[in-house]
Amino acid sequence: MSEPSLQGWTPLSLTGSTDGPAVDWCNFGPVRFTDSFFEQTAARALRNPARQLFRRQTGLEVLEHWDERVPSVRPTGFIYHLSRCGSTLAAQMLAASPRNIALSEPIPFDQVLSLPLADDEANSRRIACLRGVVHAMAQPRAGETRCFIKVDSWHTHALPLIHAAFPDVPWIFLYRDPVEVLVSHHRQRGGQMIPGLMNARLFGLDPAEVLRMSPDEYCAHVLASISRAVLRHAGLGHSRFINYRQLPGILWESLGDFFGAEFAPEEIALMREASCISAKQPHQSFAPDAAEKQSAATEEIRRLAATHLAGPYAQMEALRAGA
Amino acid sequence: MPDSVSDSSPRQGFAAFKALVIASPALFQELAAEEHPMRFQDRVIELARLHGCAVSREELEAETRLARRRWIERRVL
Repeated sequence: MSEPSLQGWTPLSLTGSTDGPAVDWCNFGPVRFTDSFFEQTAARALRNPARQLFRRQTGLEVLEHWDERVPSVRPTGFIYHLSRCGSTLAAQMLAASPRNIALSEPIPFDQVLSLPLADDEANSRRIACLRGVVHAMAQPRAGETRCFIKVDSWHTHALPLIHAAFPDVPWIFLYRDPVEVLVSHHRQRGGQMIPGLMNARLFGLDPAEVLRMSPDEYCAHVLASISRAVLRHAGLGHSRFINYRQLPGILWESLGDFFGAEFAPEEIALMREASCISAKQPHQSFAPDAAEKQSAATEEIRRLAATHLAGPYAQMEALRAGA
Repeated sequence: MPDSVSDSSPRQGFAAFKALVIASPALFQELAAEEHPMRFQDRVIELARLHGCAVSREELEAETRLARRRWIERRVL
């Protein structure tokens, strides 16, 4: 007997099982990705007792050999970012339009990238899984016609692989004055900025060396590694570098054309509305904080930014100006 | 309404009913329409019985705990 169709089912995460990685699926029904992060929308879907209880598990081969008959929206664009530079705001603005699926740092996408595949065909298998997981998440729920994927900041290292999976999909890289990014992480560190939570070797660091670093210094090294990776791969496909200062207007002024998405006036109105709300604390209004972050920067943060990040930032600015 | 109703004594458990729910979008929708946890359990037990499956409240609670744990451990691969 064949397995029931996965139409309407969204991959929540990859889990370990005795037979290797398994995929945990949830029937989201009409639940749209409108929260700041994929994880929050998934948690919201799981508050429904049926969606919590009647989940299903499949092997990884379901992603690797995705059933193309299941309707799915073709990816419209990828959003890479330095972290703390307006990427969640951009995703929230895109999610505001009912025509868009906006996947914000989807867990299973990251998990496919870090799967411990070691056979001769690991690369092609990972590419197939990436396509499968994106197609599975991009199933339309309410007539959506576009799909944007905001990846995790460290995925600049995986850019060649993601580009190989989706060679025709344009991408942007969002960045910000590194002093402001460092101040933001100094106040509340992202998971990737906490030593030990991620493999330091991904960022070209020796774990023993990390132990001797201050938290801000580690953060600067991680940001530098993310920056170097995106600069190394900047020539892959159709790309643009966007400074935080250009948000939110750049989204409807020129990124619609860049992504091949003609945003309708009513969509732009919704995006404008979303841009006035704090992306990570939706009950609060957005307040510009660049000047405040600059004035809060310590001498150490300024030194770290100048030593590790000023060079990449200048290169990003040059690429942006040349676009 | 269920596609078929068994008039024999219950002979299958939660796993069999779960397979039915997963295979039937209509059955899933019917259950997803109930948001209240206790009324949801009542509905599952009733529909399972109509489909010839014996499901107890204790079994449902254990399965729900398992499902929650799978989500909590989502980062463990």
